Amino acid sequence: MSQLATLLQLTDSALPTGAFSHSFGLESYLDSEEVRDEPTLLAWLEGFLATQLTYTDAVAVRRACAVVGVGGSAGIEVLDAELTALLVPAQIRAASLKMGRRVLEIAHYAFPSPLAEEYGAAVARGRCAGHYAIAFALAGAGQGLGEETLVEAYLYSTLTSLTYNAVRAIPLGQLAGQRVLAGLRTKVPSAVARSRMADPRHFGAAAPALEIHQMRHEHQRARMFMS
Amino acid sequence: MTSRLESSPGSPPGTAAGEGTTAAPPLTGELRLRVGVRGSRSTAVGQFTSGALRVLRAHYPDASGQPSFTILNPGGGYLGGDSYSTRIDVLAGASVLLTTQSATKVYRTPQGPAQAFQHFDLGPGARLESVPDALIAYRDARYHQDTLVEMAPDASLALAEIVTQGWAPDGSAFRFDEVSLVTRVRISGRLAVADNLLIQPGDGGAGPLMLGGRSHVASLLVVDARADDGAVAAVRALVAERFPARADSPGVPLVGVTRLAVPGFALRALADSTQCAEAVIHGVLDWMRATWHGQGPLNLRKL
Repeated sequence: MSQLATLLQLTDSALPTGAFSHSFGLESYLDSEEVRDEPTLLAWLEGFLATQLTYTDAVAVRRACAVVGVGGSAGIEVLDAELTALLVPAQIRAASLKMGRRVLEIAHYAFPSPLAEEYGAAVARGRCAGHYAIAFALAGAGQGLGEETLVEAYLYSTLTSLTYNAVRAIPLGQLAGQRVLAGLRTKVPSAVARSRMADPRHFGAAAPALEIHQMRHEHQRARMFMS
Repeated sequence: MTSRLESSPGSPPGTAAGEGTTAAPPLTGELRLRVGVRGSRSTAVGQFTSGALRVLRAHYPDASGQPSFTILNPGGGYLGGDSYSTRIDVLAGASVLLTTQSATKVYRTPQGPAQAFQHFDLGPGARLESVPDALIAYRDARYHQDTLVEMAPDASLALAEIVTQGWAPDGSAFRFDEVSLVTRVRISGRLAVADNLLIQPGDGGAGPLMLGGRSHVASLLVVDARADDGAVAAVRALVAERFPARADSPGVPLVGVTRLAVPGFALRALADSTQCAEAVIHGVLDWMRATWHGQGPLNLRKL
């Protein structure tokens, strides 16, 4: 199977990971009307890309790939525990686990590999919690996809899901959504590079205002999204 | 830094391991404190300070037996390349309130980041409340703080932080390079919380997802077996009642509270003044004091 087709399936926004029910805090910004139209949505997504997606998600994907490189399942357990500790807002932690376990289930049928199976087994045994970024990285790495490709694919596919969710929620026109995605596409390469050069001490660095909105979403009235 | 190696009287020899034998670059300031239970109250049972870190003699603000220790920096502020180390051991059943004499100021750090290492060890049933004054970072300042907490499952931890910017000579704000606070809490040796706060004003740091236009970030990390869902709901209700915030209401802090993966919660607030940030943090600390410890409100009178 060609790697392009594998990548397209893994990053398909219709892949049933449950991403369509998570806004990662965006819904709080919709509620406060800080995000209300195309420009404010694009700015928010650029901010999300430059903060949490770069310092937490992309670095987690890289660390999972690096562990694969040295073939240590103990390293995956450490990374898994680290992510559980780093994802402070409860809904963000829950989203990562819900989507992560779903990806492992999908991988079992669609992207089978010893890497993904081993992580799935560790989750089933309770040795790991099962985070999305790790599951995504292992599912992809198990198919021979490289670290740089996986980081870029992870970032772009996450932004795609979020954009489609926002198009439904704001609501925006379909073409406006595509314009937003085209704008984001130009920003992804620099986030990929920044995550590669990130100071290790910044792994999991939170953006305070984003985090507060993610926390406040827990008790927001009338929610469309689980996070 | 002028003051060097001052060993406090009453420090029992050999209580703190590795005293003065480290091969690492000399610390700008060092503080080690062991607190244990003596009779009906907690008291320092070992103490060592050197360089630009001192601790004032404990005082007892209330009848609970919890001593308040005030840490001070006679050097006046942190400079580039400075490195500080604080180690507090709270022995079984003991309780400590840690505070500072005044705000911690970080000035220009062209020689490399000012660094502070904090190691808090909480034995069974021990309790630590750390409520320092605000950290103020000035122009071109870079500050790295690493806090490691090792605690027993039934110990109680409350770590507060407030970070803000100093004013540049031209009256503009947010010109420091980086403030990075990394806090890792282990319960019985297992990683429980890793809290990583990074503010880089030059890197979109004052933007809507970072500080939302506010000048102060406050954080309160609580790890305590009593901090269950009900406690989090109560803290949330208290905050909502006192600070009925909307993201767009000026002067009102924006506060979020969430449950940790272990018993405990994290609170973050964005505010426009130190006073306001402190009001949020102290309000929640006072609630825990009253509800869990039958203790009166914080009394951080500066000596």
